Amino acid sequence: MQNKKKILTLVLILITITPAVVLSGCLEEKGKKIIVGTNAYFPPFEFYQNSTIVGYDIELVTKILTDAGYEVEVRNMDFDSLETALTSKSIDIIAAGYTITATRSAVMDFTTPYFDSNQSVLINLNNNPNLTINSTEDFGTLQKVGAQRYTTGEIWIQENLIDTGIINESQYEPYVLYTGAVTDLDYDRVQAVVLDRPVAQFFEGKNGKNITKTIVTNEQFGFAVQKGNTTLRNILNTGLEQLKGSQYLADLNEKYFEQVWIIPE
Amino acid sequence: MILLGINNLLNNLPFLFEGLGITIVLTLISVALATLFGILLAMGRCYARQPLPFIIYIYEKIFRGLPLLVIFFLIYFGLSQQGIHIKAFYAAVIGLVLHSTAYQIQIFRSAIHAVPEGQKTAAMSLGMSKLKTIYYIIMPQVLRFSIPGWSNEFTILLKDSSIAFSIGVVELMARGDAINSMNPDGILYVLLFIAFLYFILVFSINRGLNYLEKRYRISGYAATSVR
Repeated sequence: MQNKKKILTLVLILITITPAVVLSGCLEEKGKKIIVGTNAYFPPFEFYQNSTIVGYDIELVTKILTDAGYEVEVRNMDFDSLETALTSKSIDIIAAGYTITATRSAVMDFTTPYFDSNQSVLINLNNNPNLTINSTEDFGTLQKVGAQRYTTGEIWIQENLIDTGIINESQYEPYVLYTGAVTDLDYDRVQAVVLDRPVAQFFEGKNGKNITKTIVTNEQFGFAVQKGNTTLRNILNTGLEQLKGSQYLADLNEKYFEQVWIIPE
Repeated sequence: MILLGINNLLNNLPFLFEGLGITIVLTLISVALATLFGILLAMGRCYARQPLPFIIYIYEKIFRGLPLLVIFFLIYFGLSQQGIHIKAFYAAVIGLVLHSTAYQIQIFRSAIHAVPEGQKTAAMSLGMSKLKTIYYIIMPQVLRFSIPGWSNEFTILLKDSSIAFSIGVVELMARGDAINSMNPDGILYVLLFIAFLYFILVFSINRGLNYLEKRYRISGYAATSVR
């Protein structure tokens, strides 16, 4: 009986202690390390190159932070998860071709914009040779329009096509990742995809894909930090200010917007 | 077109295999811990004194009712908000273990019930203690009976591990997406290859377990397995 009790106590102690020990090993040390969250499926802003995440956003934010004496860790996650990750303090910065919008500004703080972008409409001329889209009304003739969910492309479709009654809800097809929408474009499951202009250029001319219209949204990309984290925002803003017009930025532009487009065909 | 697709795949092989490694490690750690806890808790549910079985029952009901994605988000983002920052990989392990343990309790519990009650009575009438009865009489049979159900759970967990990308574990499937975003025209070959890798994993695991099941069959007791 005595023996049995000893064994039981031992087992109980083990069961309670093991997770505690294991957990303490899993905890992150938050010192001078800044965690940058991104969605690395968005060339040329962020993408994988031999197992490391590179890209315009990533290089820029890393440069600013390392110059300020911080250690940087880039973490790849779902685009949908980024906002939750930032507000729950799992990451410190979002650098993901993230457009500054009023809705997002309500829950996070943005730095000064570092990139000007527009949306564009991508179509496939192999499937629909005579298709052109000049005005928003032209979308009404299409069976389906696609975009990546929670992106500014989706917001544009919601505000300018669905809310105005040009297309109805069922004509819009949201995708987890824009690549799915572009693949479906090739198989004519959607006839047009609304996508950030710099990324759409990546597909221009491949398999009959064509940018038929640029939608001028005058949107700007910014780095997002937690609401009220002025220290980090100031560091980023100062860094962006210092780099403005510098050779470094010119080289970065050259590197990612001239060269990356050339892919083996 | 085909050549281009295959070329694109070959260029990215090391990148994919790295992801495969993460998937395998994530699955093996999770499945080992979940099996350990599953056996212990199933025993507790069947043989311990109240209120332990009731507590286990509540745990099981809760975690079988929660989608894996919700568990991941609670552990990673929820705890993060409370100031507890767990690394994504470990958060995924904890989530998978919590999820899988709840299922495995059922697997082992049904195996425990498959052992005739008379054996326990007989063992105890011969003077064996309750713990000894469980260890020498019931456990060896339970482990054999539970192999088919357990191998099912193993394969499900292996495939569920791809949900871990939602909290930033860049495993096999997430890497496939990365390759596709750089070259969407090669999507078919990348997906086929990933499917092939998953299939090989599941197939070899199941063959191994099949062998174990046959090798350690109690002759004249379990139904002969049909291959």
